[in-house]
Amino acid sequence: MQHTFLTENLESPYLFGKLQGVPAPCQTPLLLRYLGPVSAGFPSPAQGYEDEPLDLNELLIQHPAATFFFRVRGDSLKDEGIRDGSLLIVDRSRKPCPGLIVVADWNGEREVCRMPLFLDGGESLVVWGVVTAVITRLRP
Amino acid sequence: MIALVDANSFYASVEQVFDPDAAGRPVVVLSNNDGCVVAASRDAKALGLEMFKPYFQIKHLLEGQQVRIFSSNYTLYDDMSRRLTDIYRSHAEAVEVYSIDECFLSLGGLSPCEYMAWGRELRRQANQWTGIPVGVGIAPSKTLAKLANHMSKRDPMPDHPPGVCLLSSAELVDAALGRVELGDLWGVARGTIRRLARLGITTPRELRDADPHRVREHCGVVGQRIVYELRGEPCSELETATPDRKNVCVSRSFSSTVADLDELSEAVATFAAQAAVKLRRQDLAAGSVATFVQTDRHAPAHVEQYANSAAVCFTVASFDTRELTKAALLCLERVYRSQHRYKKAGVLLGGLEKRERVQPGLFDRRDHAASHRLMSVIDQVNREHGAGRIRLARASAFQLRPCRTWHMRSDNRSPRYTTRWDELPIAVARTQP
Repeated sequence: MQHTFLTENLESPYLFGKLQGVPAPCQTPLLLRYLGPVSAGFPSPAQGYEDEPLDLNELLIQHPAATFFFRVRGDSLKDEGIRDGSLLIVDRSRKPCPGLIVVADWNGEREVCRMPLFLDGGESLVVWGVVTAVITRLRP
Repeated sequence: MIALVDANSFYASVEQVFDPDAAGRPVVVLSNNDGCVVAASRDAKALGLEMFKPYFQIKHLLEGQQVRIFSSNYTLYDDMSRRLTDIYRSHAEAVEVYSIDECFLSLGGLSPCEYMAWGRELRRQANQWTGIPVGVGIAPSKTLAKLANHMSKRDPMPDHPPGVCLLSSAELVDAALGRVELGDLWGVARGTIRRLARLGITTPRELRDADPHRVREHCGVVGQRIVYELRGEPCSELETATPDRKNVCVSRSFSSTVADLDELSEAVATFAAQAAVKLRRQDLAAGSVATFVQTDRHAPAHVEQYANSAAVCFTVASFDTRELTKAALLCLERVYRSQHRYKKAGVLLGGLEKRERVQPGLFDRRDHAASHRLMSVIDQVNREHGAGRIRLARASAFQLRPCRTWHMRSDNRSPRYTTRWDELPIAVARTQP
């Protein structure tokens, strides 16, 4: 089975011609339009091997209903790969355990931190959710 | 069996999930335009404020009480509601979304002990996953499930864990009915109570034991259904499919009153454009447009009140902002009276049908395909660059001119934490515990 594509101008030649007073040149971006399968020529050797494109949501989010995004402010966790401006993926369905990176209310402030093994007397830490991934954009 | 699951003080609870400062304090959420109280956390209710009261009437109760006041943030509430519904779906055979914070769930084949365990687990999971506390009422019919849910919050039954109530046997139902008033029952309004009183029915137990046919004669089929449902015989199935929209409405109360026709036109044109966007998002077309206006109902008694509406019908249903706006403004001119000051206006699109299935007109020579392409491009630009970026000259854009008097007031709206990349909640990486 063959797949047929038709290339067409992204901008309408009519509009272009009218505005410029000249026929539309062909340097405008081309758009590929899939017209559906055509039964002609050689069948694709990939037939039967097709896969869905990779989806980051599938990789990073197990429980969509329990997953929230946070923005990081501050650089104190940069050794963990968490930088100022990083995006945290927080899964509230995960059980918080000491040693995990969590978002927690820590003395009245919502912070991202590594969950401690012990707390000093008088301190309180209420875990909001467990951080399961960090997305950091690399800027040149 | 049917379970009714609802969120406790839903809007207030959502605000407390995201705002650590609000978590330990009383929270009040105000309606559109900061007019009335639409939600309050339990400790805020304890201050004695009543729901749906105008804010200015209860303001004095809140002073000096460390209360956090929020404008309503429906984008956020809707997203949290969707998350809760997703969780419910994984626990039930079918789910009917009854309102933004209530769902009916159907389930079957469990023992009373297992139903209780099921309710507890659902409650635990909903709370852990979303941070929202929910209550669960389980019973053989919707009316009883609603009653069970009421009991789980207000008046826990003996031997029940908090937040879950199971009315699985006739004895339990009887005990529960003995602890509520007629008015606490689902579907029993004040008029029904009056009519029932004429039949000598004054308590929920008497209603359950009443002759259904006699109740039907006085209270209609709805009353008869309540009798059967109280006996544990379900009369209505879960409505799992969302019905097609019957109309699209955009209306606002103005932050201060408006008398000027030009200013009112600008508001109505903007509402029409917003309604048109809602319409096209579902690929619908409208057969009619109505515009309504209203004076301030809370104005002093000597101010004359006025409310009116007018509608026009199209020969061919329309989805085009230009036509809808024109029609809405035509209606406005018909109802506008210059001697009044208006507090509220709105645009209602009715006669909705699918765009592809619109009956064409014999003498209609407009190019609907071209109109559809234009509207699609405008919608796309406005989606990417902010609502109102491309608009008719009659309409105003909220973002560009927020100073207009008719612009909605929402001074204390929280960020849309879950649906906007630029409004995400912040986690501070500072000192290490």
